[in-house]
Amino acid sequence: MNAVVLPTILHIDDNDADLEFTQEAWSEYGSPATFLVARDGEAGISRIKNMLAHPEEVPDLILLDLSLPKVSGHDVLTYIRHQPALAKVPVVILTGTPTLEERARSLALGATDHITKPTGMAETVAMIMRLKSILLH
Amino acid sequence: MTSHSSLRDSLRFGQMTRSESVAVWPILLVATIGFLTLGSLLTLVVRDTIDRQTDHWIETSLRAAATTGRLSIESKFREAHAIVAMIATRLVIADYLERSEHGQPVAAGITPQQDLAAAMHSLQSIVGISLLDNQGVVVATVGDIPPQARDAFQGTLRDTIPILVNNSSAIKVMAEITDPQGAVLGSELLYYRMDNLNALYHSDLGFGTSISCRVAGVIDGQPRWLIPDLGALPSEDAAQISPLLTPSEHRELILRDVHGAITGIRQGFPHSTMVMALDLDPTLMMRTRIYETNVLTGILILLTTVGALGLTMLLRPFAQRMVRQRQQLAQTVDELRRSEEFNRRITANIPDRIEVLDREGRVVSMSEGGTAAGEVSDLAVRTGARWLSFWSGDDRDRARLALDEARRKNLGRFQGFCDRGSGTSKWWDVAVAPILGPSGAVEELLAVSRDITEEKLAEQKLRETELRYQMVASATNDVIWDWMIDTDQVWWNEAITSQFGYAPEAIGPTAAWWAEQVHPEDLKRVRSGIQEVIASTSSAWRAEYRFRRSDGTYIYVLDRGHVLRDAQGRAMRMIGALFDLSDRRRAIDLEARRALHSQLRADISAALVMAVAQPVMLQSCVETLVRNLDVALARIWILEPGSGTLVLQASAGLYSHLDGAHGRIPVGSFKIGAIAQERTPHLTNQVLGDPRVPDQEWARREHLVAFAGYPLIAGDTLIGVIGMFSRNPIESDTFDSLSAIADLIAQGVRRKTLETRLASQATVMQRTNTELEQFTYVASHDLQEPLRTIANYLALLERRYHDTFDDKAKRYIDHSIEAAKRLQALIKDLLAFSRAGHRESSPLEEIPSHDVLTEVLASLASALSEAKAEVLAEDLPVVRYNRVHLMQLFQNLIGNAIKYRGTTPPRIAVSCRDAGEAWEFSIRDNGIGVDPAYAERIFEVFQRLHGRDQYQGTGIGLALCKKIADSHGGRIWVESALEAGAIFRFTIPK
Repeated sequence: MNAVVLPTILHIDDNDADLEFTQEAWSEYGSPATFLVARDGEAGISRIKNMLAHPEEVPDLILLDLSLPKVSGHDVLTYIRHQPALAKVPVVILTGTPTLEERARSLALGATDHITKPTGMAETVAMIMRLKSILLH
Repeated sequence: MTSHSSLRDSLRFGQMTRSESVAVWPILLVATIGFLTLGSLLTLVVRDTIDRQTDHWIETSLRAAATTGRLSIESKFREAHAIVAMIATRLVIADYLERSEHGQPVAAGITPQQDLAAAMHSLQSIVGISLLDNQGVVVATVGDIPPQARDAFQGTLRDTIPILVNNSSAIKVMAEITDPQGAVLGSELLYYRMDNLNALYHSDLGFGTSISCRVAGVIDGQPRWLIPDLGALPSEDAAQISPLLTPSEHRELILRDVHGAITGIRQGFPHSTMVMALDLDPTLMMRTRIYETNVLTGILILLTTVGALGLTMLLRPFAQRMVRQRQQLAQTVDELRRSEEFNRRITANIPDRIEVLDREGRVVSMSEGGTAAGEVSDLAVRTGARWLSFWSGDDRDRARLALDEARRKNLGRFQGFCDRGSGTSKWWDVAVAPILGPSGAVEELLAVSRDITEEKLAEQKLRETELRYQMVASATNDVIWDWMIDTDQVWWNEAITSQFGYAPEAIGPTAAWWAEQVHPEDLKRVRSGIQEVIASTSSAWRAEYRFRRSDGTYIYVLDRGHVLRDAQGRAMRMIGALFDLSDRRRAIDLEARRALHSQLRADISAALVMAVAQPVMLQSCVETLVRNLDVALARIWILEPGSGTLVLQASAGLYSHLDGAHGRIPVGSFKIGAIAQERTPHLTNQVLGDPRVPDQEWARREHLVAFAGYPLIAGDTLIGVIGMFSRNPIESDTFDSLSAIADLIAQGVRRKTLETRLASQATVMQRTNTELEQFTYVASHDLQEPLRTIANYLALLERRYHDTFDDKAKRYIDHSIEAAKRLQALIKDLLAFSRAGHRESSPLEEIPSHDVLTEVLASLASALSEAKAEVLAEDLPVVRYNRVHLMQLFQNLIGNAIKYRGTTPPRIAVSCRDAGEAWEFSIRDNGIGVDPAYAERIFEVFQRLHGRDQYQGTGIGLALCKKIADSHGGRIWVESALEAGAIFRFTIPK
């Protein structure tokens, strides 16, 4: 008997409201998935380290805020991109303050995509669609 | 025999003449040049063949690229160690990012990854591609990029230069040129070839490195060279390539060259993508071998040549030395002979009598010329005669003394009259000198006698005229003087007593007495004038100077003199006359003072407009006064507003400190305070005894004679006081000038005060503006987050509990969502408004404004169709502006035209006219118009003329437009009447 393995999504963000909203929105418009959270950059990296020790725990998608306490989002991204085991894991930057410079930097550092946090339902739905396509790709 | 002949040969070789030795060189030279030329030609042929092959290859691949729109990489290229890196322009990238940011379809492709993946698919040999923008930032990567290349790509993030990786044949990157709309224009290729690149990278030699880099491109389907040869570029770095650099330094220079080439091309084709190939030449080793063979042959020839040359050089000096010694001997003999003859010839033609005497004073010999001059017919008569016997009376004693002097090794001199001999009587100037033997003892004496008969006669004549001068001199009122230069005796006529008050017994007999009476400041000048005229051949002399009278006062005199010379032109005597110049001098003084004063006013005016702090400016004023007006002390006090105290701000002359007793003076106290209170100047030429100068002892000690103090008044306002002390009386015209200068200073101070106030206000304003902008920016960012949360959760609430809520609750939620969204729009607009003024964040570029309008109309498509609006646009020009700003202008103005429409469907006309120095854009509509009373107000932030329920909006749109137009040096305004439509116009400077 094979248990259905749900995709795992690691969300690193210091804003509780955003963390919860993304999960709610995902459950509303996305497909079933397991959400893991980390509330600052340091916690995010230590979480990823634990995952590396157990390859079966490697997430299917990482969502990353840029303005994080302790260790910045770009540093977390750099760390992730230096782990060969995570080479195929898509990392999507979710940020509240969009600038072209930050976007170019994220992509240069190896981010799969760079999305501005949504406001209102229409934008939320668009974001979930985009994340789903990345997850299934 | 053999040894003899070889010895003779070598001797002959040593003495070989130049023409014989040269005969060998042409053969060696021709041989050397021949070998070297042959080798170079061979190298050139090989190199040329390779060049032509690579040229052909580039032509072929570019032609293929032009027809297919894709760049093919041929096998030859794959065999060479080569890298091709693609550099996309920032424009293309930025365009892509911006479009995806706004959720609009991306013209160039779906994502850079997909773009690159498609490229990979089209060419099987490509293993990996990285896309870089022209800042060297890796935007996307597809496929396997080896670690070393990946490092290099990362390196470009810091270096912002293109990459160069050796031996990375696995990387093949390709691209195509697209215009901003994504249409394929063609391909570009930068071909970079380095001779001896292997040597460059694998050894430290790096000799003979020459670099050739050519840039080719396919533009609009046609392949062509963009830069035929990078070596021809004006690049200092290319010229610096030298074997002395290490490989890594070479590499850096090459990379910078490539970067320079790319930057240059980018300016010409900003929308193109570029392919760059760095090629290592596979035939390099062969060429290196040819080069080495050339070098070996050259060295052998050189060694042979040097050997032959060395032998010649070895033997030549012996022969040369022998010849030189013989020549020297002949020369010495010749010189000796010439010297004797020379002496005889000289003395023969000198008219002086030159006699050689023995120690006892008997004539040993006499010069030929002297025989003639002395009219001695029989030389034998004089030879052996006692020389002293030629002289008689006192002259004989003088002659004896002169002989004694000469015997003591000194020069004996005298003048004597000689009437002996058969000839005419003559005056002689005689010098007797010792002739020393080799031991240094006096062996003989030499007497040289010069005929001075004529001079003596002239002198006598001069003496006779002297009496006549004296008689004339006593008959005039002018002061006449007569100076015998050689004896330094000065004679004055009686006028010196009547005019200058000197009693005859008080007058010294020499020129020194006269010099004592000349003003010390003038003496040096007058003396050098006299010396000059004496040394020259002219006779007239004149000078103006101050001469002291017996009462001690100086008066100006004009002195005119005449030099009398003897027959030889020597100045013997000067006669002259002194004229009292006092009256004339005064007039000249006045004129000079006027000129000085006007210069002074100009200097003060200049000091007053200096861009320096007020105290520095005032100090410069007082220093100018002290320097130019012979003022002992000049000071300026400035009235402190409020306290009624005069504060010393500048001081020059006796004191330059600003503190002390007079640092702060209350208005009304002391002479300075009194001047301020009474607002009248205080001027005196008698400081001693002036009741307003309390410290009389100080004034006496410092010899202060005059004081001038003026109130500084600008308009009706008392600004301060200027005060000056002088050691000399101040003339009345000087007082007038000082008064004018005081006015100048007063005005200068007032202007400076106003300027300072204005400048500080401007600084405060600038700071406030900057702070405001920063505040808006930060606030906008931080406000976005809670708003996002509110809006999102309200939406979630509505969705989750849709069935639970009644209609009223749903309406409340709707209102809340609406408010949150409006607030968000407001913040977004505010953010845009605050950023609009930042010139550095809004680069200028050449923009076809018609394209921008088309884009804006596309984004407004739904609003336009909903309002059934019709837009008419003329052809619009290309302008130099910020693209986003122009978009915002069109978007807001056309958006307003739609929003404030009347009852009929909106008709909007966009046009532009050339207004000379600027383009003037107009957006005309048939809407509700603007009341002219509000034509200015509508451009202010948050100004709304209508209720929100009537027209949506944040009230920032037009303010943003104004800020944009202003920040580019343009203007925006509206021409309208109520209910009559509106014309919004804005200008863009050319």
